[in-house]
Amino acid sequence: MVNVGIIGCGGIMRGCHIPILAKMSNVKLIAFCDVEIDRAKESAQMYKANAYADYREMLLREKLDAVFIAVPPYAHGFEVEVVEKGVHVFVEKPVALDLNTARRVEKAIQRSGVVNSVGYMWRYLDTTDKALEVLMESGPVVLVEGHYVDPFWLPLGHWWLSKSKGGGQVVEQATHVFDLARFLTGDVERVYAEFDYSLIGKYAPGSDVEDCSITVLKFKSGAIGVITATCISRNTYNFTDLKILAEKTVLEHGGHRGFLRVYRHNSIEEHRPRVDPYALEDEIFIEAVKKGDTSKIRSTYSDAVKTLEITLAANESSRAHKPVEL
Amino acid sequence: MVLGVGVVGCGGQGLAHIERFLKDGRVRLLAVCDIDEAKAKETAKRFNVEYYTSYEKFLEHPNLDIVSIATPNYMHASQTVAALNAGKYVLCEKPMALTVEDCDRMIEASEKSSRLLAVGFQLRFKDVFQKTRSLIRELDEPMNAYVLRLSPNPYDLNLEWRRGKSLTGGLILSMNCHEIDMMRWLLGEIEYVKADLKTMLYGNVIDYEDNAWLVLGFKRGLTATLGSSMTAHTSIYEYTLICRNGTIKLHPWENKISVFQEHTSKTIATDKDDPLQKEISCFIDSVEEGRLKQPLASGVDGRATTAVIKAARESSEKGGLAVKPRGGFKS
Ligand SMILES: NC(=O)c1ccc[n+]([C@@H]2O[C@H](COP(=O)([O-])OP(=O)(O)OC[C@H]3O[C@@H](n4cnc5c(N)ncnc54)[C@H](O)[C@@H]3O)[C@@H](O)[C@H]2O)c1
Ligand SMILES: NC(=O)c1ccc[n+]([C@@H]2O[C@H](COP(=O)([O-])OP(=O)(O)OC[C@H]3O[C@@H](n4cnc5c(N)ncnc54)[C@H](O)[C@@H]3O)[C@@H](O)[C@H]2O)c1
Repeated sequence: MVNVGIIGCGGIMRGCHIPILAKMSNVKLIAFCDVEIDRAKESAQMYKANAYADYREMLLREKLDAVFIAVPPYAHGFEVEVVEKGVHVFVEKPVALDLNTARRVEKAIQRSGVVNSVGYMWRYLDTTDKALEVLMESGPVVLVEGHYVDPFWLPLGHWWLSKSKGGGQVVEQATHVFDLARFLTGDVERVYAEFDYSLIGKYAPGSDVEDCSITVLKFKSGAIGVITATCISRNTYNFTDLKILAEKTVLEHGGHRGFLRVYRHNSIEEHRPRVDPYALEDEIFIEAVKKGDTSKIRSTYSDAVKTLEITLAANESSRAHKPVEL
Repeated sequence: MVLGVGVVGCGGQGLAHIERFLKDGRVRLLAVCDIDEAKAKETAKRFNVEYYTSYEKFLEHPNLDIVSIATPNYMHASQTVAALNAGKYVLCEKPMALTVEDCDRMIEASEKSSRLLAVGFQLRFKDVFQKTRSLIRELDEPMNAYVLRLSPNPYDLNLEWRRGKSLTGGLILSMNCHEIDMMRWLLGEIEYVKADLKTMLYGNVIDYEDNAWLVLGFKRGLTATLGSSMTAHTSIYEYTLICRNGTIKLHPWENKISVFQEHTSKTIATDKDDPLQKEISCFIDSVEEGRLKQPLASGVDGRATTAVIKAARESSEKGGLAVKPRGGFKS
């Protein structure tokens, strides 16, 4: 049995990880923590566990094997204290809002040797496996094009609408697309971005997050790419994707939609997912905690830091109006 | 000896036939016939052949082996019978004829003269349908099929013969004989038909249906639906075939087939081909070999389709009761 604690009982935890973990026979949810104590209590009551407002107290009082962390991006950094206690960590993306914090946590994880995983769930789709398989026989990748197109839907005052709290759309949301691009085509060496802020104020007065962005990527492999994001699209025009043009095939990954399309000269193949990637990332993390074998974890903390680095570089480039070398 | 060809009907489809016979190259176009002298003359001049306005005289041409019939639908039967009786091999445009009895006469004439008779169901030659036919076998027993053919008025109603049911056979014969033949070719024999035929928009111009709903019961057990309209504002032509191990969707005009299975789907681009060319070349092959070659539609096929459509009319008149397409069925 793996004793699990939850830090941050907000949307993604309650809507996704908690119900998944609750269904797993080898997991016991023993403690819930949220600075908004009522949220922690609500879940704690449901699962007959303890509630905490402060993670320190939870770490002190509970015998935890692992914690799942899903707090707003600005709240990260305390993971150092968690892993120093030898507690394994699953952290939702993005891992932080600056590289110093992320590197501090990364080092602490390395020192402690705990099992670690970050919630880039698209990596766990079987259609992503298929993409890797097809890419093996596709020749070199030349062009990568990705999208994170969302309508505006957040309530005013939400942390997401402040760059110092959420990091902005590229760091917080489009990070999934950047991460999948890295997973499928390798590391990035140069980033150039242009961000637009002209309309966000009409949706959320005072907000300083980018409403549209394009980020050009130069991959170490030589491939070039562009990722387009917006948070002010229409309800009728919203999607995520990543398209990869290789010498012999064109791949279209549907992002949240989960599908993979493989375009060849006279055929298009569409594969639809057979797995729930959220459930799979949680199960694989728990398995790794139990067995100490981390080989099935697709997104380690260190790997996620590299994705953060690109999205932060995009912000830097957009401010400097210059490419940024990584 | 080079086969001599004559084409009757110098309208759109007649010219299309002429072009394909010439492109095939194995035959010689010798004569054309049209009651409209100007048209006949112009066509003859263009292709440097003889022309006739009298079909009887045309058939007396000494060197005609093949006669291609591309006249209005109501002329198919009498002209085909006359050509066969005169010892010609006949390629007759679809629909074969307006009545089952006419079809019987045509088949009989072909048997008596031992000259081949083929009906111009050219869609059978389209790669997209040929691939579909083999896909149905791969995906195992078809369970359900939907065919939709919706278009803005596809006919030039200025042509007088297009306006009368007694001349065209109506929308479901003139147009949807293609779909009925295709469904028979893909799914087998049709045992009963239920239909609803309505004139929604063009009542002041035509005396036949402009919208149609057909339910077709097949011998192998499945039931299929055919929807047809000539009052739409866009063109939709698609087949959906639900088989045991996959669902096929094809868009003939886009030459695309999609196969859906539980977790995958695949879209195949098929050839942008010229099915009429393939049909005419196959007909020439058939004449040379002395037997109808697959997948040419025979007189029996043509009759079956006309019989299904006749049954559909009867069903619609009876308020949608199931009607067996028996008509003058022989065999
Ligand atoms: N992988 C995905 O698909 C996905 C989807 C949604 C959210 N997320 C990520 O999960 C994280 C949380 O997002 P959310 O939508 O659940 O946000 P949320 O605001 O709904 O929930 C965050 C919760 O954390 C609590 N919190 C804040 N600081 C805390 C602290 N120091 N200790 C304990 N609790 C604290 C808040 O009170 C809140 O209840 C974000 O990083 C987001 O990017 C990932
Ligand atoms: N297979 C296909 O996809 C396809 C496509 C178009 C037409 N067709 C068929 O081809 C036939 C002709 O159609 P069309 O579009 O060319 O029509 P059309 O009206 O353009 O041509 C018919 C021609 O036949 C002539 N004609 C009429 N009565 C005649 C007679 N008694 N003797 C000699 N000539 C006569 C007319 O003057 C006219 O030139 C129809 O049966 C139609 O169903 C088949």
